Amino acid sequence: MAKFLIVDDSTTSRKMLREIIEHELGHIVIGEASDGAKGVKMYDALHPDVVTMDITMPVMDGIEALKEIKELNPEAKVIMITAAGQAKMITKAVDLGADEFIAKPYEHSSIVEILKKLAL
Amino acid sequence: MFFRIFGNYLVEEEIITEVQLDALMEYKRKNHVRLGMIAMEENKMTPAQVKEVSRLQALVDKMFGEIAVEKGYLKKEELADLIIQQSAPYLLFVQGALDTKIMDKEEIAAHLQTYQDKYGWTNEQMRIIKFGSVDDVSAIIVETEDEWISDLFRLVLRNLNRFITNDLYFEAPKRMKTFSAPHFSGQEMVGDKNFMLSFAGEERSLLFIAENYAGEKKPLLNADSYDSVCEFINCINGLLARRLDEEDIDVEMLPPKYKDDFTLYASDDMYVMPVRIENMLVMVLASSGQRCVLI
Repeated sequence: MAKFLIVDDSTTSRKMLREIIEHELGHIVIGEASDGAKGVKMYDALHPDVVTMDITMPVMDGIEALKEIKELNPEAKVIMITAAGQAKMITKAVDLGADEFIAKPYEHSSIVEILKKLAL
Repeated sequence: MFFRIFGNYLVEEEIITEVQLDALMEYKRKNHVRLGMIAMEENKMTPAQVKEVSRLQALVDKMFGEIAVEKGYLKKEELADLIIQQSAPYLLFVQGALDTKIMDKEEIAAHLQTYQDKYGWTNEQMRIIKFGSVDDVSAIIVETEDEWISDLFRLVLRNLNRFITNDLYFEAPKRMKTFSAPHFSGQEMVGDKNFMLSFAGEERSLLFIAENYAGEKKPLLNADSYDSVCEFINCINGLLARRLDEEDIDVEMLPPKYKDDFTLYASDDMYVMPVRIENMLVMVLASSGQRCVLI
């Protein structure tokens, strides 16, 4: 059972991801953060196996948070959650070592496949 | 779509009353059969499978039928048969009008002809209005001078239909400089081209969107409910951003905002499209060009 940290400013998006991670895949969500800065702190404190990271967030966006998490642990597994058209952000995230991407609106089969793969 | 389009026309022309249209809508609700229900009736899926697919549908960007096929519960050809049984709202309208004795077949045919003449629809456009999907109908009704804004409105209607309700009615967008409403959720995209997409209206209409998108009851239009509306808008904007990216138009999506008792000022014109979701009015606001000011 893998431990997940969800970082997303939308409570709705966090609930949807938690539902899939816990009820469909049988993993556990050990923390939720509503912006990148809180996400980095929670990563450092909780050491999750996988982080799902929204890109567009207030205070600190997902790109900056990814960078800081990778500085804390270059092996950290981070899945970026993007609105469908954020191509430029995706390129930045790839350069910073993001492991996977999930586009909103969520496509069920691909989200399950990606979460399963990263949780191994 | 047909119930609301033709029904509203009949009310405006004082051919039927609001009460009679409500009766027709009630007939549609009672006689509308969900795909899962038809699948069970036809012994194509078990109740447990229908429940599972319905739960998944609330979480992902897919229709019931797509998930059922993906899961192997339905074959594609079986799904096609079920959809045919489920569709044809025009026929259901005729059946409803006859059953409720609101008008007979000849009267319906005569009023349809008058409606077609009034709006200047071609026979092909009338076929689309009678039998088409929301996508088909929006392609003929939603037109603005900015094709990107038209695309954005059509994406809104498609996703309202997909995630929120199939009881939709909309009118052609109109240009405006300012707009005031008691409740507002919106998001800007800035970059090579600036866009704003917002939903505005009464509490109950925005709550309805929030509840149906998040798949849970929300008693008040509070931060949590607004968040669900904002997330819905974020997804729609993302779909537009994908299309913009294909044309090498680079935009950045800003965090969505919400506000009570607001007025929106647009330097350039914005377009406002009235949409009725289960007869609750939501104004969909969209603009491109100069950024909008929210007060």
